[in-house]
Amino acid sequence: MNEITVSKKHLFLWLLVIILLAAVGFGFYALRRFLPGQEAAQQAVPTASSNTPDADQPAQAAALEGAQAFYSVDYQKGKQAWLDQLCAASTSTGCAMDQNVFVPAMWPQLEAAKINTTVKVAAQGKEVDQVNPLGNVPQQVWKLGIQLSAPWPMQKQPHTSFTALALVARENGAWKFERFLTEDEANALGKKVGQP
Amino acid sequence: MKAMRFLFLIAFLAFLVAPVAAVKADGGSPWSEILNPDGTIQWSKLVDLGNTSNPATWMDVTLPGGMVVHQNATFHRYETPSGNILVLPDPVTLFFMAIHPQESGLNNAQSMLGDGASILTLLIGNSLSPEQKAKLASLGYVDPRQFFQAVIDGKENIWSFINFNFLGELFKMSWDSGFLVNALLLYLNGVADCANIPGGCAGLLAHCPNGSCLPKPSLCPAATIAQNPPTLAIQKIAPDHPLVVGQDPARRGADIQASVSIPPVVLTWYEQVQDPPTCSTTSAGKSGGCPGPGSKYGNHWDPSMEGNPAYQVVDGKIRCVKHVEVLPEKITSVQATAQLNPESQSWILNDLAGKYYQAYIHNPQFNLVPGKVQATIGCGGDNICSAKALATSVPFADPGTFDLRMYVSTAGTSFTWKGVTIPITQPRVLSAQNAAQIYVTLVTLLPAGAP
Repeated sequence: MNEITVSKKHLFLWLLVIILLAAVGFGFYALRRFLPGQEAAQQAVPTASSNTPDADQPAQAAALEGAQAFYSVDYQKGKQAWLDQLCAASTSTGCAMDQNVFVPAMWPQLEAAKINTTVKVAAQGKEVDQVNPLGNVPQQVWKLGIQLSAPWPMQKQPHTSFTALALVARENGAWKFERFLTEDEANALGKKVGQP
Repeated sequence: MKAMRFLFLIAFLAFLVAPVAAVKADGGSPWSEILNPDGTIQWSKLVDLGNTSNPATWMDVTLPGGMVVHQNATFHRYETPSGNILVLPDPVTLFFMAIHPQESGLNNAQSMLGDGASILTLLIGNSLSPEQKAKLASLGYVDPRQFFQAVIDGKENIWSFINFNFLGELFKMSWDSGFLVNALLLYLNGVADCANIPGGCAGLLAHCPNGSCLPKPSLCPAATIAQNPPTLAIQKIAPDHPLVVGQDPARRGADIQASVSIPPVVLTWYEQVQDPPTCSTTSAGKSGGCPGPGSKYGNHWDPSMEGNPAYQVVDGKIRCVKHVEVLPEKITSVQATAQLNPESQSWILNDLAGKYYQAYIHNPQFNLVPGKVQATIGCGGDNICSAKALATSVPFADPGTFDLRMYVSTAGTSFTWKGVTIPITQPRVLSAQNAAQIYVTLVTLLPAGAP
């Protein structure tokens, strides 16, 4: 058997090369990870925030599930399929609003543009935690990062990466998605909590 | 706390009465032709023009990602005897009208409620919490109406103040109560001022010169319209004593059936028909004869009759041909809701909560149709239009009396004659109401051996 001899000098060089490779790899990952607009794209689908307290996990999950249902649209499956998946994730009020307002208003454009989108959703934090003043129902607002696979035709600008504020409420003991806050509501809330 | 919603609605209704009384005092007001002495509306004097729903950019809402959701402004309209138009916006439309009074045409109306600030006070004022009122006062708005005027003037943001539930509550009011809970807006001069009427003049009947748009020959009897009354029903059909689902291991719930049957409109009208002229002999022998061609005469003609003074043209007889049209009144939508009545809510929050700590109201109001089930709508070969919905195992979660309400919208009827479509009856909204009792098992401890 031949004996392989490695000098101390060569051992040091090999260790240096390995450390450099690891540093370059970590730097590349960190750059991709923290680039603006890329965050949602790198998350699992949907992704819960790892530092969310256990008590908030169900509400956060409801927000993620609602966003997933809202933005996952396949025109070939039809309007009713979209509405069904929305209502399965929503409160009764949310379902009624989808049924009477949002879906009828948006579907014709989605169908005409043959929209078939998937979405990646990531929770970015809880913005509001309160009890509905018109009832005794807990509700929360969650900030979500949305990454659409393709823009939708009713957008003012064709963004695929944006944030959304999701209103969730506890109904019959379970947290459910109700709706997204409108731009007016989100702007007003942003001023209230000191966001830009 | 959920009773707040109902207090809000009750206060909403109560607010509607006072402004009417204020209007009736003004004898020269355009309202006077449709108001009773007690301030109520004389609905029998109004021609129901039905619903109109048109895209309105001032009602657009924007969702995350800049997704613009267009909404329709929805109104129910009536025409007064003098041709003014009375408009009832649905609650959602009214809200957006109030915050966009110029673009929506609210400023062009004579409102029972005054201006946009008054309407916002009506819609939102009663739902303000003491904390919100205190916050308004700290901003210098002693009266909420001052804040709402600042919203309309563009100095304040309405969305910074109302809570997230308000939009949903508004939509629910529209679906649950339709146009029954609403404000009245009067637009003067009717079809002479279409630009100022919400929705323009689409769907409004043009006044016919002779006062009727029916094909009514002057020598024939007037047309008649007849229709048997519709049959509406909404009721619990099973089980006999439904238990709240929280106490029922099988979670049976209750079956609710809603049905409507609308008989056709029977239009009977008479067509004036004149027989062809005839060429007849005349004893005077001084007539001008019967000019050709002979095909225009109802009897035999030959060229010798042309220019022959022994013949004259006699006009054909005028006959009235009776037509009977059976017109289906199509159903355009069916809505049904269940709502725990205020007495039952009070009983849960006071009596029941006194015996069972933390008893609360679970789900006092929800949609049955659509929501739990879709209605089957259609017209049969007999031109009877009907709709039916059966919501099975509806999970009633609260004990007490649920008010079951059904609203049925129709398209009215029209009749097409020689390529011209004539409206015969206007679209209308029919409603029916019933109650369903939901039971709860209460346990009472009795001392053993007590008499």
